[in-house]
Amino acid sequence: MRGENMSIILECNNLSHKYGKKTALDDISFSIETGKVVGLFGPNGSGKTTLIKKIVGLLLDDKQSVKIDGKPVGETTKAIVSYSPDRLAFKGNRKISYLLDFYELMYDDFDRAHAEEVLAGQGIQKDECIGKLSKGTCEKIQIILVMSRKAKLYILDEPFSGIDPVARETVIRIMLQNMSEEASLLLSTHHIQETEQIIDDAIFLKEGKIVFQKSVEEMREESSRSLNDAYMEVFR
Amino acid sequence: MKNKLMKLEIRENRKLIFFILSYMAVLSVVTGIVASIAEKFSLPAATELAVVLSLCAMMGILLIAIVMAGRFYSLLFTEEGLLRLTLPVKNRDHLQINVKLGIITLYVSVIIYSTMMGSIDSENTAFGLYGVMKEYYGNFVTEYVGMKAFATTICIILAIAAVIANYYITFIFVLTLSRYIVSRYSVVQKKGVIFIAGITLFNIHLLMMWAITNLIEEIEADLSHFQLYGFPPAENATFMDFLRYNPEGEWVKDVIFAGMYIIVYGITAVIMYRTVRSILDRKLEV
Repeated sequence: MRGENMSIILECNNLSHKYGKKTALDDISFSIETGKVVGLFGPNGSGKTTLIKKIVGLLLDDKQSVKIDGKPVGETTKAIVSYSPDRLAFKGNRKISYLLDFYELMYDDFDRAHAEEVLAGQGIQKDECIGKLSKGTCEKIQIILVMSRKAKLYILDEPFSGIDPVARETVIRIMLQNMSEEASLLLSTHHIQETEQIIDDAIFLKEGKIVFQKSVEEMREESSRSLNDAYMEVFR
Repeated sequence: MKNKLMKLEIRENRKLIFFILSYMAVLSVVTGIVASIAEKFSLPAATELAVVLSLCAMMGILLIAIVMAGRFYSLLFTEEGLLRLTLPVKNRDHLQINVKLGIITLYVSVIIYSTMMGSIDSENTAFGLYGVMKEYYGNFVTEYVGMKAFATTICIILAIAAVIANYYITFIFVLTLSRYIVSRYSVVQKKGVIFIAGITLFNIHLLMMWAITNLIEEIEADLSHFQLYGFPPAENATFMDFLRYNPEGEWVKDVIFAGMYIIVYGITAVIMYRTVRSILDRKLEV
């Protein structure tokens, strides 16, 4: 368990979202305490990315259902949230050095030295173009940049999509390497088995609703089931 | 943070802007030289070539508008939007910075173009904005030096500035509005659809502006028909009487004419800008 003095970093109260007539999120309420790693699981189309987009401000939250560090989503919350989207947010012609410059200029909490060190550790050259790298390497770069910020809340949307098991392990290591005790992480993924060991709480989303929300430790104490078993039980 | 964003935009665009401005400067010089040769030796072919070169140089202005507006679209409405729109700034700041940079670059390009054209061949008034200005206002400035000439020149410059700003904001406006309409009504978000919607909106805007400009020209034509006549008693004199009586009234007409341009193009630019700002702040979802 990370973090001793818990306080709420993220709070969602009766959060809903519709795409036209289709309901993507239906009256969702949950909170994340500081220092916790929360796994967000669910099949495709369950509303994981929509929920994350609401939290990071890519989708409008007129009712101010989301509060980060006690504040509604806006400039202030964006400064303390480090977000990695479900796809690459950089154009192929961008060099890694450009991305480092970009993060350094735009985020006061970006630790460039750390990012460069981790990149070098992964054998990634700064003068390489994103477009010439493999999908796995690009994912790694995106995670390295996002995790090199000293943010209060990290939000990673499908950070393991399309990368091999070895790279997945590396990404998990990078994720945890730079996280302070007080920082929280919301991780959306389909890879339950690989992430079960690092997750404190799990949220299962189904058709825009939370169908399961429990601490992993609590769940293990109650029954000897793994998180994967619980997932299979809910979604099978 | 806004300053940092501006710094980033300048850093990203400086090479491209420098390239386009250099292209315009070089082409303007070549046009000036060709035009002066054509005039000196009375070569019709060289004159035609100068016209073509002049148009090519002018295309740089359009190119800058397209490139800058295209950047606005690609930074906010494509994958990069996921990164840009989660920066700790307001969505409207992206618009403000792009519009500022775009318009300033356009002004610089127009100044470079007209200055190069005019300065290469001071006798040649056939090409470029500088030439046109000089031809039209040369006598005027000589005859009516002082505040009247200054006021007229300032008004004309402001009118040109308003037109340029209006056209740049139109690019941003049509891109944002077509993107919004396309996503709002769940049309497949293909660049082609947005492009067609954008072109349609742009043409509607052009037609509207054309109609308004025609109206302004009609008013100007009506003003030119006034004959000079005796001045009525001061207590009964209207503004139009002052205008009619004053033999130097031409400059007032020009100021009014330029003022109409500033008002029409300025107001429509502000309306379009505020609409885009409102879409970005209250309706944009990526």
